[in-house]
Amino acid sequence: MRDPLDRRIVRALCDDLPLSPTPFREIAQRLGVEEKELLRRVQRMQETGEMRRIGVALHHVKAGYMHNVMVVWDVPDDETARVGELMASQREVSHCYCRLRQRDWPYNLYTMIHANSEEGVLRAVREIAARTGCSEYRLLSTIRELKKAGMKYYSET
Amino acid sequence: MDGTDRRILNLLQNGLPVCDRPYLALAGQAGVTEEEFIARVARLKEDGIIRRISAFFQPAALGYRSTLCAAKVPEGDLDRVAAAINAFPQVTHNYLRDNDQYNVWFTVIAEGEQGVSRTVREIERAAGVEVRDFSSLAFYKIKVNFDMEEGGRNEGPTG
Repeated sequence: MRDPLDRRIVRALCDDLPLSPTPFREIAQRLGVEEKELLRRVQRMQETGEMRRIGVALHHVKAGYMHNVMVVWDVPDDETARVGELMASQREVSHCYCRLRQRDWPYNLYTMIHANSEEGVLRAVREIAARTGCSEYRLLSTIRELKKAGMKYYSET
Repeated sequence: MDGTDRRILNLLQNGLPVCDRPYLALAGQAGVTEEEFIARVARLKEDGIIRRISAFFQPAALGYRSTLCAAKVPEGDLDRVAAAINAFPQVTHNYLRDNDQYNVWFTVIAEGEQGVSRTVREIERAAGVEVRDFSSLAFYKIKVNFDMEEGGRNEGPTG
């Protein structure tokens, strides 16, 4: 994305949207552009897939999803696509990534699993293990959130 | 949080329309006036249930790369090391996890592969710990919507 105005718009949309009836009008004024122009460019970013959506980041615990765990799986390399898709279809899974194995860390599929109880999380893990036939995995439960922030893209603009 | 709040949270998670009056557009679906919709959102933010309302971008489409890193940090060094890692704006998430091999796990987002690897090395120097980069080869799901209605809270994220 090289267009300087698009980059400035992206940077502005990383911040909290104003809580007014016309939030885009306020952002347009701040950027010194016509609101129509801003809306046209943001809609285009959504069409191209650069912007997934304008949405909301919830505090998972306060929203009732008290428990989350990262589960890492050791899946044969030629199985990662099949297993990855199966894991992605599990309701409690929010993220599923295939990552590089390391010498001392044989795991290559990473899932984030959320539920509103400890049992709910463990049940989901057992279900996934059964559905995918994976028996090599480890649970890394969250002890403490050290940082959680939205990314500020193009912050130098 | 009542049923209307939950409805609003589900509507917001699916995304605001990009138009002149986005809240008015959603207020109708929540069965409240624009004014009440905005007031409820403001309170959900004050209560900290909503962290922020903002755009969610596809890093790769913007020329950015992200990765997941981990370090083994002794208990006594945790606060110092966490502060050093958190000082980097490229670090968006950082968690202490229950594992004896790697207990501090954090994400790094930067412009391009070189930007990421340079940042990881800078973090290693600043934090004074070895940092492992578990770079991603593929992803099968990034969709963090939590169904807040009809007992949705114990269902888990919708796909």
